[in-house]
Amino acid sequence: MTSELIRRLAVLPLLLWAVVTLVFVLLRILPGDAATMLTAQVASQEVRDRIVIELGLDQSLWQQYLIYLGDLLRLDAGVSYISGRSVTSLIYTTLPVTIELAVAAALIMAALGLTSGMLAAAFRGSWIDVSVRFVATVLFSVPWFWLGIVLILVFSVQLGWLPSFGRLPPSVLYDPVTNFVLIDAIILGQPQLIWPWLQHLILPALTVGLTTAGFVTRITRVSFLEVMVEDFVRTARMKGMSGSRVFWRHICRNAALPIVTIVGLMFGAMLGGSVIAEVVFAYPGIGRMMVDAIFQRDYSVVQGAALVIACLYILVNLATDLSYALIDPRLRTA
Amino acid sequence: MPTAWARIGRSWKPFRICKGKAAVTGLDRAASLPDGRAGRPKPIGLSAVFRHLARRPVVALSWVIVLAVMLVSLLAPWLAPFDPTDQATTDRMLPMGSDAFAMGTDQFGRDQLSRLLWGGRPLIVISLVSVAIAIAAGFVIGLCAGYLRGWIDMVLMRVMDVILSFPLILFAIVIVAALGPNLINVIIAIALSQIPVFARLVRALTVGETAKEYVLAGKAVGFSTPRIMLSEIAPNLVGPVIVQGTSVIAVAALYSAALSYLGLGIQPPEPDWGYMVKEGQQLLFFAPSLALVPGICIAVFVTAWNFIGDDLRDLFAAGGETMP
Repeated sequence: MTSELIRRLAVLPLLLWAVVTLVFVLLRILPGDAATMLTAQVASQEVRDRIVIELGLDQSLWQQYLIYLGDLLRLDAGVSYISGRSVTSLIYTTLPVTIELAVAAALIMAALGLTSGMLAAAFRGSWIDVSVRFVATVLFSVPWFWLGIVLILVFSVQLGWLPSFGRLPPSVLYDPVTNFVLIDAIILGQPQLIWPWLQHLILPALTVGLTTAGFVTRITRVSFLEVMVEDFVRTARMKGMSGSRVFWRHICRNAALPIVTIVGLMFGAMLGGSVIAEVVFAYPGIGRMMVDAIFQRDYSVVQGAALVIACLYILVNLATDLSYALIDPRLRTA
Repeated sequence: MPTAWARIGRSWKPFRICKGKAAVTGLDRAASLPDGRAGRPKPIGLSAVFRHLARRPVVALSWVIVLAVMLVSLLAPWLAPFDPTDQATTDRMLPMGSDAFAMGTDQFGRDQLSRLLWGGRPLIVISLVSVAIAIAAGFVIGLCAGYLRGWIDMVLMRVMDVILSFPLILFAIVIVAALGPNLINVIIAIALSQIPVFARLVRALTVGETAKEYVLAGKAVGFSTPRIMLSEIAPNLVGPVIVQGTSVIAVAALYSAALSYLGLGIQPPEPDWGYMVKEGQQLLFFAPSLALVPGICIAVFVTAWNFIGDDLRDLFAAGGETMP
């Protein structure tokens, strides 16, 4: 296991470098690159020349690439052309927002997906199974943004229970420390932050959680069904083990592996989904910042945001793989 | 009745496709012939197809929906009562059921029914064409990697790994951002994001096939490498890849809708379901149907593809689950 850990950690910088390079290539070399886009908006030749020099676009691509890599190593991802703030500080304020959203969505996804999947497996072939599977398929076929709009329509417009946009009401003012509201509320001793924050979080998190839950349901159901017919389950029953003990000790632990894989992988879909949900709910996360930056042609921001999301995804995948060993002792010896 | 083989528990057992509902649903995935039982499966007759669909009304309905949506979109120029981009300034925001405008009009006075009829076209074209491109490219990459192995395999698969290091929708967004939003670029973006899905599948299948005797026989007879790859191995992979493809069409359609919603798809005023939801969202308080109906269209179309994909996978047990 330690050797596997070392191997994975050794590959990590290489993978990150490849991702950095891919993002650089995509945004600089393809037609319609940042420089042309940026300078096309500016009228005077003088200003245009200044921008080109400021962004280092007068140098060769190789030099640009090396400068870019060097800057990244010093955690300098450039400066936003629109707001004038450094991309690192923009990410520092927006990334926690997205992480909050993704974690809340993951909780909803896991809770819904696991229970409904286990229910469907337990009552295989019954109307419960059939309807759970039907709803699961419909849920992951529904466009994320549309589900968000339906939720707004029901809970904000019709019922008036929850706010339809933003992260905190404008009346709530506070100086963020970590930008995670929950942690800030504890650090600063301001519990009044939590309730409005939760109210704003529920709808976007539901949107992402519901659309990804359907997939978890299916995987859970299938892996439980596969384990339930295994010989060791029959043996356990035969030797008189109680039903619940067979379930927790034998079925759950063996069914968990594919489920953990999927929950980990779904985190990617979840980060993608939260880009959309953030746009629908005007939720000030990194995804919304990236989409806004695309329209403002603020390419250093797009670049930085894409990189951060990809890195987060890679790290989560790594964590998922490593968690196998915790669940499955058979993999520890490898 | 055609017979197939399913993995039930740990052993392979025969079951009949036509009477095998219990067997098929037993594990949710039946399997084609296992190793050592290679043989050309008999083609399934049209009547068997109908009998299968009669037992699975949801799947039958899905096929009807998919075909109907495509047909209606194809015939939109003749079916639509108005030009979908025609702005009648005197007829803004008419409710559903108004004279002449069955589905009402939007904030620019454009006929909503005509826009709905036209609006599915980009989604359908993008999802079908991008998946076709992704299949073609993934096939070539996977076949080369799986058969030639060595450094070619290494390089190709590591490139795929890098693409898969992005959440795929994010990858598509970045590519459209770089290339600029229009139909062709959206197709390129979605196709690129889905290539690794097929490349990995085809590679895994190719590795499995390469170990079989007929490939060895081909080599012994002196067939050239391209011949073994293309006319010996490739035909055996088509089935599973197409099954996987139907599920990926659903994913591609969702991506296409999401890109349009973000404003990175078809540019207005051309009608597109995803963008119609975005425009309708601003009027959610006054005319919720403007945003709801196009979204329902997308959802129904994608759901139908997913049911079709599931059904094909149950029957042929090909590929894995498709990530949304």
